[in-house]
Amino acid sequence: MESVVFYFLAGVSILMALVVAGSRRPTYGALALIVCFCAVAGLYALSGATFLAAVQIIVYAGAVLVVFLIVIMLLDLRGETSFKERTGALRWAAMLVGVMLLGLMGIAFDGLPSLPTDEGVAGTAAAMGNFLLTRYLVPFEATAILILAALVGATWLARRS
Amino acid sequence: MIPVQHYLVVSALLFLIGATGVFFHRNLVSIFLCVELMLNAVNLTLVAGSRSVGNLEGQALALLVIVVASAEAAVGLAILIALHRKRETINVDDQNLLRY
Repeated sequence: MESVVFYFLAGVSILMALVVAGSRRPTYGALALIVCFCAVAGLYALSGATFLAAVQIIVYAGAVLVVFLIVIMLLDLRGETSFKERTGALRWAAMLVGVMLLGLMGIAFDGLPSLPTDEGVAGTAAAMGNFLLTRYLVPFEATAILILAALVGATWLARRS
Repeated sequence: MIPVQHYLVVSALLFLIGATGVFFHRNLVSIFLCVELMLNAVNLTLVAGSRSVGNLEGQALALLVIVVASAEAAVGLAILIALHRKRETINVDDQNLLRY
């Protein structure tokens, strides 16, 4: 049962990733990416990271990608005529890069030591909160400052001069 | 229980698709979407590793990656809006101010 769910979610996420990478229109890409992120959230939940799965759906699929969609609709890209994907040599170069990365990953997996698979850890909200606010307190607060700076910077960048 | 290698293969494939998409697209929004996909693939690796070794470090790191990715998306989209306002296009091939 678990493996059926896993392969279903993995298949959905990879299929939607292909749509994201291949679609000509960014709107379709963003919508496919929402589905892909929900499938990845399912994979998180399947491996015990339930809090992270919730964060993935709320923050990524719910907030970041909606902002993407809003920006796409705000920009009014109908006038853009040159949105054909790269043609000719550059397309083949992209394919070549993909194949080379695949080969590199094959080599990397070949040298992978056999990892333990049945340790398991429950990433519930309580456990994650406890962990983040004790051991990871400094990085956690640093990201808070980072996101504040990013928000101020984004507002300043997008202002009407 | 699913072997951790299967998670790693899925995340490697997601990363690969995202990386190829970055090379493939000329539209800045699509490139951003592919970058988000790559960040997510890395998160999947971290979660799988966290389960494999049996502690929460990987999941905490994945959460920090999500925060940094959302900051990146906010700043990136703001740059995109400013670019579109100034140059009327978000085709990356037309942005060659820093090339020389």
